[in-house]
Amino acid sequence: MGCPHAFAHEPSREPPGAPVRFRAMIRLDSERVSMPETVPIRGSCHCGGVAFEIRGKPGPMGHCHCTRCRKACGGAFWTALLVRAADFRYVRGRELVERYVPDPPYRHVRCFCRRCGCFLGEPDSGERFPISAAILDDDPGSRPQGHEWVADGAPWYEIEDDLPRFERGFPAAPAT
Amino acid sequence: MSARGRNDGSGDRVLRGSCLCGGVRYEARGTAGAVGHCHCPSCRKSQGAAFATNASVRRDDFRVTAGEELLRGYESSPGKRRHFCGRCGAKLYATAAAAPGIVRIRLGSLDDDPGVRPRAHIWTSLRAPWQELTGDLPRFEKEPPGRDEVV
Repeated sequence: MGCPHAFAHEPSREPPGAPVRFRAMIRLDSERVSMPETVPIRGSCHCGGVAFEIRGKPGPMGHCHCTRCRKACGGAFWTALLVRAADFRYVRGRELVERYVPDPPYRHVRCFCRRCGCFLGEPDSGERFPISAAILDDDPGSRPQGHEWVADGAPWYEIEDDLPRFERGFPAAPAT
Repeated sequence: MSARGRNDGSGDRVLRGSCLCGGVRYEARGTAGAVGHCHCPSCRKSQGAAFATNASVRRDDFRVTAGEELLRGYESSPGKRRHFCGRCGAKLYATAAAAPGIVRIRLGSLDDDPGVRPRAHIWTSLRAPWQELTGDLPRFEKEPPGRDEVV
């Protein structure tokens, strides 16, 4: 998998970070909005082939500006919603989900619908993982907490909001 | 380092783009057209991004330089194909039968600075509920008049 030129060619790096992406956002879990746990939050890809739902309260949300996330979605940045694996399940189309396992030093396994290419995020990569907030069909209630990896941000994009910005990853959560 | 395009020796600027795994690469000569952020659900769903930021280049100025066999396309509406790398899923560009002379590059796939800057947010009435718009760029609730000049 992957091309031997990928690391040399791409000017930027992937956040080395902790095993769990957006781990610092976990500390914000306690601030999750109140929502009846019986109402699932639904999401689906562009062609509708893949659908999933999140039960329970979703985790926090954040924007990542690293080169790799930008390439995955083709946009100015990627907005991720952190979910617990136990709360996430595919409703249909799991067989359409393609997993891209990058060559080292990159680690994040990115999933997409092989039919429409929709970037789903990183499902099934640990006890908590980020998914693409943009493909949710329901309002998750969570709101973006900030921008990370802004040092690697696109030269053509200027952040327009006042959310906290971090040169690299979100600062580590305090030890508990 | 991101360069503001590259000179190919003939004086034309060359913009390079590539996917996540590096398998697919493309080049576009000339200058990218107007750029805007589109918040419509179709753009958001197709990419998995809060909004899509795309730029037009002339089809004659665009070529895939590596990995053509890896490309996959999804026809999201009749004649409109959104092209991505079948190996890593990276979003690269779109083509439309209605505008055969144009390729719409996904700016996130660029390795070079296109020089142009986004001019507006469009379809803001359909934006994600968590996406606030606070900047100074003009906003259009729907399709802006004279879209080609705006975005």
